[in-house]
Amino acid sequence: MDWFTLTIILAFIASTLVLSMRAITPETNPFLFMAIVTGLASVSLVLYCMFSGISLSLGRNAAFLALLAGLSVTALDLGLIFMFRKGATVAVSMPLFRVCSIVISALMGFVLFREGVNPVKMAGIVLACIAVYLLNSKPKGDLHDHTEL
Amino acid sequence: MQLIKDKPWLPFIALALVAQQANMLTYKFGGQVALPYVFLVYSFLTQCLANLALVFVFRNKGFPVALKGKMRFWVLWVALIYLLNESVFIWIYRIGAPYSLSMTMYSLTVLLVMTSFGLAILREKISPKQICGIVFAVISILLIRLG
Repeated sequence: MDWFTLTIILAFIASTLVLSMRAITPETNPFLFMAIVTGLASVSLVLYCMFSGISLSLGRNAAFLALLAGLSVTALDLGLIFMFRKGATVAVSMPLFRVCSIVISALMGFVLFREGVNPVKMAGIVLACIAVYLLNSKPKGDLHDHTEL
Repeated sequence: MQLIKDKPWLPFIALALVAQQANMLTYKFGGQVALPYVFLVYSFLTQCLANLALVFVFRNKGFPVALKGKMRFWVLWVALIYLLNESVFIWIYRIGAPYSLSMTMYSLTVLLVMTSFGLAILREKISPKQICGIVFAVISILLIRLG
């Protein structure tokens, strides 16, 4: 399976995750919830590795990256939670977040990884930013808060 | 400074953006130097401990302290989807997906799926702007695929 197909599949899984997150009630502690989610996920993976005979040892570089990965995901959740708690409106903050995310990723891909770019791909990225902005705009009269974690 | 005063959430969106990039970079490199499942075990354990630390840090800051009712069961479903999500994410970079295009594709498709869900299931209203957005998104996906 190529990366394009896998990315589409990932997007469907991620959408399910976002929708599932939206069902979390305000009376739930988001940090405790995520602690249990990640705890359960890690236990499942440990069991999978044990039964598959996969060694759980990790080199120093990989261990450092795994630590950084865990901390960065937590920082991402923390940033989004406090962004909304500090009064960010979904209509403004989410388009800003998504457009910035695409632009930064595109720049990093071109600069850091020297990924090839042609005018067609570049046009696709620019159009994607405009599409994200337009899709995130709220229709008039929609007063629902589409807050997501 | 005035901008931060007017929009106190700006530093947090900046934190989220930096954290997201850091996360994707660690997945891109981590998926290449270790087996994805083993890498994810340690990443999840770190997240678990970091979140537990945050429960403790923010215990008196207006966050409730317990999971109640259906949330006790909902957490199992979210854990399953989360595990699936992160596994596919790290796998994409392992098979050599381009950093810039994969992220663009991912963001666009999530938005299209969410918009379709809102329209079809939740019967949400759609504005002409959003219809333009959907058209642009589809063209953009085609351009990235063909480019």
